[in-house]
Parts: sequence; structure tokens; C-alpha cells
Amino acid sequence: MSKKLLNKTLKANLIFSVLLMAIAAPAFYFITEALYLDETDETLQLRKTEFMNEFNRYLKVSDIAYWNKINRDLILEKSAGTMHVDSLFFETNYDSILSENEHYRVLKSPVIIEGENYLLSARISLLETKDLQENVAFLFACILLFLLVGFYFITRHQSNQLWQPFYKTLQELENFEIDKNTVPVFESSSINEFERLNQVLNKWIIKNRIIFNSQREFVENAAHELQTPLAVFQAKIDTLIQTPNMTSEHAEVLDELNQSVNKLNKLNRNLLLLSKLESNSYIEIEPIVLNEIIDRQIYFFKEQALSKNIKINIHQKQILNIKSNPVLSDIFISNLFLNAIKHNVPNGYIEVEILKDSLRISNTGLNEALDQKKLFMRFAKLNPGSDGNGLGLAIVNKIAIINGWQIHYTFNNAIHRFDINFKRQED
Amino acid sequence: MKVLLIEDEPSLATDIRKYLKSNDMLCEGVNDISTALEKIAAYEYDCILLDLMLPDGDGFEILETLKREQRQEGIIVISAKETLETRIEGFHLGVDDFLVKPFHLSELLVRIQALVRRKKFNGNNLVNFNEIEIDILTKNVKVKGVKAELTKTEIDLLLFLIGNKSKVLSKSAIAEHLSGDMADMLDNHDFVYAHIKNLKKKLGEAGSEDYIKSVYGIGYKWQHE
Repeated sequence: MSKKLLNKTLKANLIFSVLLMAIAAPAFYFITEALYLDETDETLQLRKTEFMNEFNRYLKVSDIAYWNKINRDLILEKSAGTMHVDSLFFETNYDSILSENEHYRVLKSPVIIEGENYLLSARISLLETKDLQENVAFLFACILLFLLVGFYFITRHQSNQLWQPFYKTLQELENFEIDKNTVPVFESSSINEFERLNQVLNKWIIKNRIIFNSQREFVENAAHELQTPLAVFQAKIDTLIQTPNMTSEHAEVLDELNQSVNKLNKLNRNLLLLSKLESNSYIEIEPIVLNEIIDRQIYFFKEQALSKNIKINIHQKQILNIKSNPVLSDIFISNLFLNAIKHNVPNGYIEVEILKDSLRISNTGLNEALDQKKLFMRFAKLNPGSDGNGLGLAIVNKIAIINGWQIHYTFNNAIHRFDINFKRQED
Repeated sequence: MKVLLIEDEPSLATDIRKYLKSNDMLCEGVNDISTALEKIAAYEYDCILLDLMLPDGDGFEILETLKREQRQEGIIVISAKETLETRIEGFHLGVDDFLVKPFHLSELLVRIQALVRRKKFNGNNLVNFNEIEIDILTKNVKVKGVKAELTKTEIDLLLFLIGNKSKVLSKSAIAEHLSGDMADMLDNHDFVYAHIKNLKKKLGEAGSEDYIKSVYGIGYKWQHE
């Protein structure tokens, strides 16, 4: 499954943002924490220096108890005098006012008051690690969310605005079929790449249509040009067979010539029909009841089936209404029936079932499935023994394509079956 | 019966004229529009056979002249190029029938006969051959005044044979005539034999002489010695 361009860009942006946030959030946390600690330590040092400069000189031992009472975070303790340098450490104490454990950064420094050794203990309550983590996480989640929403709207906007000409071109191409008369119209774009794309496509389509049309016209012109010499050929043979007292050898040669020119005539007319189908010559469409076509033609089909003693059974279960060109629907039906007769075996049968939207023609025949790939190809002779020119099913297929009908071929137990679905399939 | 053939392919024109002449038709041939217009101005015909593509223009000019002068001639267009548009335009200009090249001379002949019958003998739709009488309108066939039960195809075949009497008709010509629009899709002409056999049998049973002769392997001929 391919994804839309928008989703691809969005996905890349999303992965990058999440990765970035995953690295940035802890980094931010540690840096913040380190900076804060650094700042705390500096403050503690400042308080100590302040104490040394402002109070140490005037403080008496008798004042210490009172001092400690009014200073909660800068107290003096009696010391054994073993500590000579400052020490910084963490400490957790139970706070009776907040009734929870509080984390502190503590600086202990030796001082001498009236000749006695004391320890100055300064402390600052630390920011709760958990609080910090939560806040950082929340902040980053918010940033991530805003980023993604931003990405989504920017990408969508870009996709709608920037890629608009591209999607239009794409849609035109999807609707384009070389054998139909409509030509895709590309809107001009202010974006250089898309403009170039449209120009290249336009050039390519025009070139291909010219090739396609000249090929179709060639077939049509060739077939048309052949009509007159063929008419002369046919007239000569019609004249020649009037010769009285022909020898049987001459008659045989003439008969073979006649059969050949006949095949040529039919081949030529079928080629003309195919090229006319391709040039959309049959555009008038009217409502047609398929049952009526079969009713009208069945006498002829039964006549044709007689020489091989083939039985044709028609089951008209429902009325099948279609919309098509009357000439084409007639040709469609007769080609299918004559095909079923032509490729049948002596004493075989043809079963025809007419439903509301579909027609099923099953016939006995050679015990070998037809090649699905070659079935509808021109001049693909599936049954080498037959006299056909290999255009019958190609014409059937072309008419089906023009009308949007679906043909399905199946083979089972020596029965060849063609199912035609007349429900117009719009793509 | 007078027929004017306007056709620029000389070889085909010769064969058509020869075939029609031997069937009691007077056929004049011209190969361009100007001569055709001269002929039309000077004479009256029963039927005009017109090729649309001519060296000095297209045949519509002739059709317009005929329509303007309200001429009564039956017109059959014989053309190699045939489209729906030319057909519609042709019918508007009074064309009675279209025959696309290539065609069998026998087919052309019966088309002319049918057209002239339609145009000339309003109400009289009988075709006679000795003891056989065919009513084209009611599709009734009588042999010596007694009705013979023939199918539609058999009557069609009978008319084709009688219309081309004394001519050899190839099986393919008969098959194409009988299958009409479907002729191009047909590769098997075996059904002709069955129809000939049935027609012979039914006419024989009704008391008719046997006029249908098989000619070598090529085809059949309606012959009266």
C-alpha cells in the first residue's frame, strides 16, 4: 500500500520531533538541576561570608541559643573542633510545618565564637526533583504537541496549495485513455517543476495520440483503398463463373479463388469495423431490450447451427435492458452466437441464459480451455482448424469496452462459457 | 429497363454493364459527374447506380440535382467509403439503397429489380416465372395456382435465383444475400446447401419443374431449357 505524500512528510517530521524531545527533555532536566545546585551553593557561600563579616565579631556564646531560635536556616552548633574546612552535602529532614520530608543543601563551616569551636550550618531547601521532572516533562510535551499540530497544518496547507497542480495533473492522467477522444487539459502552474511536468506530459500525449491516430487511420485508409480493387476482383470472378462449358478443373480453381476473395472481403470489412469502433463512429445510444435482439436473430442462428446439428436453448429468465448503439449491440450478439456455433462440435449444444444485468452463453467445444491472454486479441487464432479470421472476439471485446460491459470467460468440463455483465462499469 | 451507371473504375463498370445487359437491362455507363449530369438532363432512367467518389467531385452534386428536379429515378449508391453520415445525408437526398464495395453482381441485380418494382408497380407485387408466382408483399408462393409453403428465407432465395435467372450464383453470393448484415461474420456457407435442397424439394412437391441446377462445385443456377 502506498501512502499519501502528506502522510510521508508528516511521519518523518513526527519521528524527528519525538526523537529530539526524547533527548532534549532529560538533557534540559540535568542542566537545569546542575545550574540550580551551583546557584544554591553560591548562595550558601554568600551567607557564610555575610555571617563572618557582619555577625561573627559581635556574637557572644550567650546569644547563640537566641540566634538559633530566630534563624531557621542559619544556625550554630557546638563542635568538637575536628572540622577545619567547609563541607557541602545533601540532607533530608522532616519538616513539621509542611509535614513532609524536605531536601536541603547544607554548608557546614567551622567558626570560632569567643574562642570556642562552633559549626555554622547554613541550609537551603532544594526544589523537589519530582516536581522538576514533572514540570520539564509537561513543558516538553506541550512543545511537542504544538510542534506536531503546527507540522500537520503546515504540511496540509502545503499539500493543498503547493501540491494542488500535481494532484490535478494526476487526476487528468487517470481519466485519460488514448483511444478516447478526450485530451487531458493541464492547468498552468506557477511552480517550475510542475509546469515542466505538465509540458512534458502534454508533449508525450500529443505525440502518442498522433501515432495512435495515424495507425488507426492507416488501417482505415488501407481497408478503404482495398475495397475498390476487391470489388473489381469480385466482379471478375462473378463474370468468369458465367463462362459456359467450363472444365471441372477451371471450375475448381474459380471456386477456390472465389472463396479467397470472400475471405479477403470479410477480413477487410471487419478491419474497417474495428477501426471505426476505435474512432468512436458509433456514438448514438438508445435503450435496447437485449431479449428482442436475440428473438430477432435466433432464427438465423438456428439455421447456422443446423449443419453441425447443434441445439440452441435460450432461457429468458428476465428482461435485459441495455443502453447502446443498436448497430453495435446487434454485432455484439451475433458475433457471440456465431462464435459459439463456429467453435462447437457436431451434435453439441449452446445454452443461453438472460438475466436482469447479464447474459451467459455456454457451449460445448474442444476439450481445452482457450488462452485467456489471446482470447480477445486480433488475429489470435485459438482454433487453428477454423475458417475464421480471428477478429470476431476482438470486435466483441472492443464493443464491450466502448459500452463499459465486462466479459468473463471460463472453461469447465469441455464447456466454454462467456458471461457478460451489462452493468455499466464506470472507473 | 434503363439503368445509368456512374462509376469511374472502368474494369468494374464493364463487368456491371455486361452482367446487367444479359439480364434484359439497358445499361449506360459514364465515369464522371459532368457527363452524368448531361445524361440525366437528356434522358430518363429507371435506376441510377452512383459511385460517390468521382474524379471531378463527389456524387452528392448529382444527388442534389436529381432532388432539385424532383426526378423519379431510383438511386442506389455503390461506394467504397461508407459512413453513417454519408448514409444519412444520402437518404435525405433521395438515395433508395446503399451497396458497399465489394459486392456480388448478382446482389446488385436483385437490388435494382427490387427497387424498380417498388418504384414502378405500386400495388402490383407479383413476380412470375412460368408456373411459379410470387407475391412479394404477402410472401405467398403459388405453383400452378396452388399455394406452396415456403419459409421466409426460401422465398428470399427463390427471388434471388429467379432474379438472376440463367446466371451461375456462387455459394458465397447466395450466403451473403441470405445473411444480410451478418454476412461479414459468417465463415461457413454450408447452410446454403440445406436451403437449396429444401426449396427444390418443396417446389417439386408443389408440381414445379426443377429449375435449380448445381454448377460444378461453385454454386447454383436457375435455368429453363
